[in-house]
Amino acid sequence: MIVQLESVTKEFRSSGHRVTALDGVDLQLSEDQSVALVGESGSGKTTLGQLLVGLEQATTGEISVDGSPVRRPTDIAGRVQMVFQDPFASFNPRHTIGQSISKALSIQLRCSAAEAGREAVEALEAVGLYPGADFMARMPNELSGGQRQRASIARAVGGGARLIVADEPTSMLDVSVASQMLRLFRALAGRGVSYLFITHNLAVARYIADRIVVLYRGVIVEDGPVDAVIGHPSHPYTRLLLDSTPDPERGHRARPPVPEETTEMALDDLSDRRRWCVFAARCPHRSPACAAPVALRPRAGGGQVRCVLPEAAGTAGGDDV
Amino acid sequence: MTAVRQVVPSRRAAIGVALIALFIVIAVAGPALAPYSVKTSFASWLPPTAAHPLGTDDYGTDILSALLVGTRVSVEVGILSGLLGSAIGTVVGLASGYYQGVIGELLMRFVDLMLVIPSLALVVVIAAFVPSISNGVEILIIGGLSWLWIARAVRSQVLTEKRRLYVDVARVVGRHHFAIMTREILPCITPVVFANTVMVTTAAILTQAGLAFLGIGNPDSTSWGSMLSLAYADGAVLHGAWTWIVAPGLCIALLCYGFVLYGNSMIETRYR
Amino acid sequence: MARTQRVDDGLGTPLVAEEGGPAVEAEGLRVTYNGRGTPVHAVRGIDLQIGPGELVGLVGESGCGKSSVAMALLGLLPRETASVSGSLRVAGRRVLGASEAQLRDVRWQRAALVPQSAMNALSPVLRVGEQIVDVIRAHERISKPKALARAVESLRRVGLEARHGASYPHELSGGMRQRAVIAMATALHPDLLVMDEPTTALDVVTQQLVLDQVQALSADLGFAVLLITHDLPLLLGWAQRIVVMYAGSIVESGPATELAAHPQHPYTEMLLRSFPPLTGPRRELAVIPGQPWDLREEADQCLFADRCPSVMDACRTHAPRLTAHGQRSVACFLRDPQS
Repeated sequence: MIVQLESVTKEFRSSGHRVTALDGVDLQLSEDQSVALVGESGSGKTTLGQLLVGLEQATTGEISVDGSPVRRPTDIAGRVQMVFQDPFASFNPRHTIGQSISKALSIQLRCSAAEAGREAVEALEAVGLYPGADFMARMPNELSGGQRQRASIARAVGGGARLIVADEPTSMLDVSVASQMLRLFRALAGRGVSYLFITHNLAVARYIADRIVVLYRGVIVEDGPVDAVIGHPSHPYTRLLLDSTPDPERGHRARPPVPEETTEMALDDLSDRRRWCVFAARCPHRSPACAAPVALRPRAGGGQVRCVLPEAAGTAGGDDV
Repeated sequence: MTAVRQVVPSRRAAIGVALIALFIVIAVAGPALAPYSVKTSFASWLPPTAAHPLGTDDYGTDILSALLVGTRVSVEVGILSGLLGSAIGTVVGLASGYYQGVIGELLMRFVDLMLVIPSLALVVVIAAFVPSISNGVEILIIGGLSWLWIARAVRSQVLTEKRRLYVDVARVVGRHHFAIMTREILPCITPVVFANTVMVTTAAILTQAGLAFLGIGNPDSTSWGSMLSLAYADGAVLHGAWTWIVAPGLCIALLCYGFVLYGNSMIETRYR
Repeated sequence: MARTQRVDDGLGTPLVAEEGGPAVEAEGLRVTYNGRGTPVHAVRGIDLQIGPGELVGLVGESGCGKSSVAMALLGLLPRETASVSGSLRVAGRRVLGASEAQLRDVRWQRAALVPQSAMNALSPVLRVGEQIVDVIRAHERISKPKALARAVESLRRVGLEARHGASYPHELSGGMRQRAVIAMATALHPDLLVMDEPTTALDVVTQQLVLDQVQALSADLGFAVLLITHDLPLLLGWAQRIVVMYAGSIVESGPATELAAHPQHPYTEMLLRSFPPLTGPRRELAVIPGQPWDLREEADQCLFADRCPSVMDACRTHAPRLTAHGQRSVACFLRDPQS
């Protein structure tokens, strides 16, 4: 299965302003590779996830799965599913877990309610909720956050979908529950499921994914194999993310201060975006060469990067992290 | 929550339901319960005695019998109008809240416009052109005006629910819009629907009584409102026949109170 | 790190000439919630010392008692349902048994709390600057223009500008709102800033920004910080000292880098290994088996025993005491086989 985004732009109108969440994104995903979509808030990563499952429609550009366009959830419900960030709100409080999951599975598997019920029990047990029949009868508020998130995963995976968009699925969970959830994600990946794993934490990306796509203000700035991107980040923004990510293996680590946007160069307006590299306002290496939109070029170690710096393409030595 | 607990969540609700049920039973049993026929005339203005626990009125009719027979009209028109209004209002509220857009806005502006019109006055005007209004027509009119209120309340609640994550989840999972409206959102807004239905029903009961008091509606049928109307016109106060006034008035109040108790207890119920 | 002794900071902020007393001195602090049913022992007799200007991280998962500690430090626990005992002095002032009037003197001026989700608790109908002015004028008799000047000054200190003070909270990003809340908390130059999960809703870049600001502010104004979080790696590179809590007790504490490099308590180690590594060899994430200790139960044993991979017989019959070895303390029979 190939998921393709071609020149996808998504704009929102919010209280009079036009906000560009995604700007001309080209991306290809397949079911044999897990991709981590990394970025800070406002990067567009959640929007990209929503576009993939049909919750939102692209303003321009096209999203397709195996050639057929994706415009609404029913187009891909059986092939791409989503696990959301908030385990406490993702189940209808008036339905039992069994009702919620069975309904989802019967739609996606196109089977009877009874058959869907059996599949649901299996799916619950596959994510560690044992005995499944027990959990089927419970109401969502009887489950803990971790259990609810597991049930969400069961619902997402049980209908045959092979690509799961996971939008920060562990950020609302307690530490030890989050680590169990991450392990579960990996275990499921071993059984043929692949992810678009949305996170702002590179360490989590490294744990889950084979490939990292770094998003900044709606634009892909770096895309490459996970070890290459983390070991030798090509884009200054990736570098910034790397420096900001807490690492249990590192004690005190000398860190350059986080650069903020300089006020003369606020880049909310689309027109400015056309005149400068998208990261120019915060880039410590900004130069006159950045006064034009930058295209993606190959990076050393595989993948692509959107930067004019010579180091970006690997002509200079990469830093050891 | 068990099914019973969901419908009757508290003692207050139980009292309300009991009152409503009492009147429904009387309404259904109606004439069978009454000791005498309302067409039988006894001596006028009799005070309460063992034979006539509530006395008799100006026409010699046993007041208790009239009360029991009159329950049917009051209950029937009141409750059915409330249900009709609730049904229409919920459907309109759901649809306009879920689909929003131009249609939703237009619908709501129409509702706003209609809400300005006082229903009692409207019915009085209609009555001026029609010799008599049957119960069924009365139900249609009252119900036809009360759906407006419910549509607004339901729509506003649907707008809130629509933003909740489980609605997005339902879409991602592949459910169609109609199923989301009726199977996902509707179960979550039932407290609001219930609460508003009982408010509307209470208003309908009072409206019917008021219309009967004004002499509008079916002139031949006995209802609490018509009893009050006659009591007033025939000078019950002067004759000291306080039961003629208090009994139907109390019934109106109690029936409404039953709904209010139930409605308030539903508003306070929270479904997690 | 004694406070600079100035009578006035130029804007009329009277700086009390405290000669660097400890920010927190807590001994045997106990918090029990008496709601309906069995009492919940949220904090079970902890000793906590925070020196002037020290940056301390308090780490633990939900239910370990850390938020109760934060509330207790500012005397914010409801008297009807929470019984607090032990000895507690914050910035030299007694907190337990103090009257509401005495506590009012402590709050905001001697110690300030940035509670969880504070950035979402800003009043939506007041400009940010006005809210800071409210705080200042609630505790000091100064004119509005002067208070406004002080408010702008405290905003500048956290890297925001005057125009941000003129904005409404919804006009600012999450990171900016959090910094505004910190500006509010430090406007009266307290000796202690307590922050409960200040970075959970923020992304990594903003998290670091906020932490950097707090660190710089602490160095500038000389206040101590108690940062409460479940994100242990976040504290590395920021905190000077880390205190680890489990089920209402302190299980380990020590200098941040040492504690992370050589954790002594099995819980600390497993907690650390629950976070995926950014660098170094890939490894599997640790999973802490079992369930957290039921806080309604009291028992004379190590409360982590049922989940500990290195559990011994002694652990189930006696409660280990927090024993100090130089700058490090740990409550574990593995390290200190005392009875």
